Amino acid sequence: MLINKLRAKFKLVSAMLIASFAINGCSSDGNNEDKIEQNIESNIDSSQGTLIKFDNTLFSIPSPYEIAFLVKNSKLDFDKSLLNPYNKSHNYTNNFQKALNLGVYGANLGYLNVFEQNSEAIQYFSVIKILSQELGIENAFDKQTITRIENNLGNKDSLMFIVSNSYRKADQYLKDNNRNDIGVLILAGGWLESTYMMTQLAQSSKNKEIATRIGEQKHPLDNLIKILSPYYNQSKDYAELIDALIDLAYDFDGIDINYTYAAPTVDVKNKLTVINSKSELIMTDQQLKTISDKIITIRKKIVD
Amino acid sequence: MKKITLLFTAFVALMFNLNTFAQVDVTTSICTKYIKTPYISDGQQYKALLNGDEIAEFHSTFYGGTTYRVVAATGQKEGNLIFSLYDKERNLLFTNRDYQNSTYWDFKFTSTVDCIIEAELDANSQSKSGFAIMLIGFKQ
Repeated sequence: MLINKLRAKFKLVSAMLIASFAINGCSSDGNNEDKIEQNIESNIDSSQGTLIKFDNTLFSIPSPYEIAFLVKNSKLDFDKSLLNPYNKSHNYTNNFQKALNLGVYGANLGYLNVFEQNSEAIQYFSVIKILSQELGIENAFDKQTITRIENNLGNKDSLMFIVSNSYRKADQYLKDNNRNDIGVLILAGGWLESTYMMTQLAQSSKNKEIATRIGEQKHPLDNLIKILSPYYNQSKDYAELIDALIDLAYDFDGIDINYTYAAPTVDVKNKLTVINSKSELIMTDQQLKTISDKIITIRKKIVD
Repeated sequence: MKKITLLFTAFVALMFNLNTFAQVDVTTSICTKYIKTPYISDGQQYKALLNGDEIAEFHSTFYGGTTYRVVAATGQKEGNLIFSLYDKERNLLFTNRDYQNSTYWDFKFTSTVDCIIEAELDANSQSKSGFAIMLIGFKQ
């Protein structure tokens, strides 16, 4: 346990060191691209020759939509009580709360779309639009996009495509305008809400597949901490959120993932490679319960 | 004289900036045309500035039972970027170098795997530097 804690602390310190370089780069005068260039150059890893990192980010966070599909494929029924009520959006008064809950509502919208709850989805979409405007990223949900969404309300596949694309545009806009402190909160909110919904479903249904999906969040959570860490000193809110996630990561560290490599197979004609390697996840019921309880606590601070 | 020099420098910087943004926009358009239904964007856009033989590295978890599409490009035309997929043990799972630097490739994961994607400019292309853009989509 102590080793795990030290490992997690080391991860944070490493991330913060990288972050301090990145933030120094951002604070200088100059154009956006210069800043991006400086940030990237600051992250050159001298121990590995010319290795650099994508966006100073390095890591991806699973899409809430992707997780919603995993839930749907587990043959579980729709449960409205899992959602953060859309009428609570008025309670979110500062950018920190708005960005986190933009991510939360995005995950809710993904869940609603997958289960084809169209009338409810409209309400959530309206809230997302308002929060986006308040955060200055209305370009992601511009008039053309809104028209497309309205025209595709009955078409689940198109709707998911349009909304996911809008979140990608918002991500791009925030990165290009040095507002990634907001972008990472949207990702954090989406990840937390998706993981919260999975923990609730796993507890109520005892569905093993969902439980496995929760355990598989071990590395995405590490990734999330790493992309949030540059903003640790930005405010007390960021520090508290990151500390809570690090505390959660201690529990995920107890989950074992045994990996076995197998040669992939390639279908050149269809430009498809099948990855045949296997991962086996070992997680106890107690670990699942502890993780679920901690996620409830973190989520409560975000949505209430 | 100082003012003129300053204005000229600012003008050159502005032109460079606009040119860079234009390049990124074109590269993004190349990538987005391959993320179409049934593929859905993961909601993020990954970008790195590459010079010479630099390699950009990207970490991601791919879920078992899901098919993903990885799209990566640089500059104003396709085929200038090499991307390779490794597992955490650094076993090479795929490289588009073997397939004429294909701009996109699909990956079906039978089990959840943590992976590393590396991207680099093709030494044989004319590009000596540029922004690499990468998008990931998953199949509905």
